[in-house]
Order: sequence, then structure tokens, then C-alpha cells
Amino acid sequence: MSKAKEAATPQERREDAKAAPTSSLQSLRALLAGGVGGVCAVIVGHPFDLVKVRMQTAEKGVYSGAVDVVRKTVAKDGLARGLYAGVSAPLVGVTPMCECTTCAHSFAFDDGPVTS
Amino acid sequence: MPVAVSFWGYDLGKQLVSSVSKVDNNHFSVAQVSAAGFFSAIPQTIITAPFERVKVLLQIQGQRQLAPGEKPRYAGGVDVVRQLYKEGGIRSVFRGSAMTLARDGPGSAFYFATYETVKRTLTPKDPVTGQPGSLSLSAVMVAGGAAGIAMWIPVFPVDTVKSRLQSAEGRPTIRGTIQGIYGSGGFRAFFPGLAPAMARAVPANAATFAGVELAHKAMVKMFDSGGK
Repeated sequence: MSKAKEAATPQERREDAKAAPTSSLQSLRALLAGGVGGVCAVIVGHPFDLVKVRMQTAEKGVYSGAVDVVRKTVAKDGLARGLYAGVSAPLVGVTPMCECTTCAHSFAFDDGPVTS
Repeated sequence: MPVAVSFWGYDLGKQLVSSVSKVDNNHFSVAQVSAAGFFSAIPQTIITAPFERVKVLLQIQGQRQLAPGEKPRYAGGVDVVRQLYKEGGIRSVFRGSAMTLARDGPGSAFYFATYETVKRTLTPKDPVTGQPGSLSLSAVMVAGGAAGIAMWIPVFPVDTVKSRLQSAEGRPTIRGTIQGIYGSGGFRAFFPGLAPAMARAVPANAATFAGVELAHKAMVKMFDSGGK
């Protein structure tokens, strides 16, 4: 609100007064929305992360590449128990780095409004 | 909640940066953004470090072919913590935390440096005031995706050491793990899985923004429509 104080109508002044206590509610909302975003990122990102970890830890020759990891994992344990093995951990505590930082950034660091 | 932790850490990082260096008109330089990003990873890592160990162990256990009637070693996340604690105490539960911090500190710094640089490049400046204009959603998405990809390049070897350390049997050391990886295939052996890590960034980043946006809209519908 960029209007000068003296130009404010009584109606506008009431709205200004109302805005102060709602700002903490706003940050709670931002927090909740950030949490939802983090969960979405885990749901979309976990299979990629699982493929990465399996490639990093497997002995040489076990997998020929990323697609091979997906194929073997799905063939053995299916989608939910295969590619999503271990998803509970990030859902509970590890919303991965870039998601946290993205949320924190878009709320704490923006120097301009985001328009769609 | 990790997002809350990150908020707090980020705020702390910003305050630290502005207390030790000069910030003009709330405009942080790329170096300052990187420093704040580095600090933000510290509280986050302290909270999330044991979850990383649990995650890695659960992610790889399905690879083993079980004998008929044999049950998987870990029944779930809580069971992992219980068994690790029983076998190796709190040290085992927290194994790899130093590597997690060594990954997330520089990773977060690199993330913010990239994010900020791409975002500023894509944000048109107001021709009159010279101030950055309003930011489009697509610019934020591109910057987030690019940052998520770029972040991995400097820290991937650290991440490989971390995954190996957290998945190994017995009591591995950082030095021994590094030597083992190098011995198995030289410098290249530190980079398996870089492609899926980078491929993850774009859809995960898009999903984050979609989730944040949807949640905001849902809350507006739930709490703000009553007053009409």
C-alpha cells in the first residue's frame, strides 16, 4: 500500500489495522505451502535420487547405466516398493536441499513480486 | 519441519552476512548470497543428517536377492535407526554427517549463486529507475532448474563419498572410502549417477512451485472465501 497517510479514507485505515495481525498468519501459510512444495518435490524426485544412490554404491558392472537401474528395480520390486524405497525418510525429515532453499529463497529473498 | 529449519537458517545466514559486510539497499551480491546459502545449510544438516543415512540404507537394500523365506534386513525407517544404534551407537546413526555438511554447504552456496545470477539476467530492468522489474514465473522456474543442475557439479564427488560411507558395512573411514572409490576407477569413479541427479532438478523444481502455488490457492479458498 503506497498511498499517503493523509489520503487514506477511514475504510482504508481499518484495512491497514487489520493487516498487521494477519502477517504472522501469512508466514504460517507460506510455511505450510513450502511444506507442500517440498513433499511434491520428494514425490517427483525420489526415483531419480534412488537411481543416483544405487549407481554410486553398486559394484562395477552391476548396472550399465541409469536406465538399467530403473529397469532392474521395477522388474524386481515394482514402482512403489522399488523406485520409492526409502521415501519415508525424506518425507519425514530430509526435504532435499534444493527444494528447501528454493522455498526459502522465493519467500525470503525476492526483490520483485512473482507474477504468473 | 525442514522448510521451517531452512527459513530459519536462511534468515540467520542473511543476518550474519549483513552484520559482517555491507548490504546496499537490501541488495545482496552474488558472494553474499553464496555465503548466506552456505550458512543456511548448517542448521538444516544438523536436523537432516541421520535421515540421510536411513534413506540411503533403505534405497539400496532392495537390490539384494533374498533367499526363500528370508526377510529384508530393515523393516522400515524406525527399524534402521534401532538396528544402527544397537550395533554402533549414536556414531553409527550419524555416520556421514560431516560429508552431508561438506556437500550441502558448498552446494547451497553454489545453488544460490546460480539462482541469483540467472534470475537477475532474466529480470528486465525498469528503463527509468534502473531497478529490477517484476519477475515472471517462467524466469523463477528457469533459474530454479538451472541452479538445481549446476549445484551438483562441484559437490558430486562429495556426495559419492557420502553415499558409500553411509551404505558400507562395518566402520569405514572417510579416507578409506575415498581411496576405495579412487582405486576402483580413478577420478571418474566419483561421478556415477550424475545424470539422474541433474535430471531430477527440473521436474522436482517444477513440482515444488506447483505444490506451493496449489497450497496457497487451496488456503485462499478455505480461509478467505468465508468473508464474501
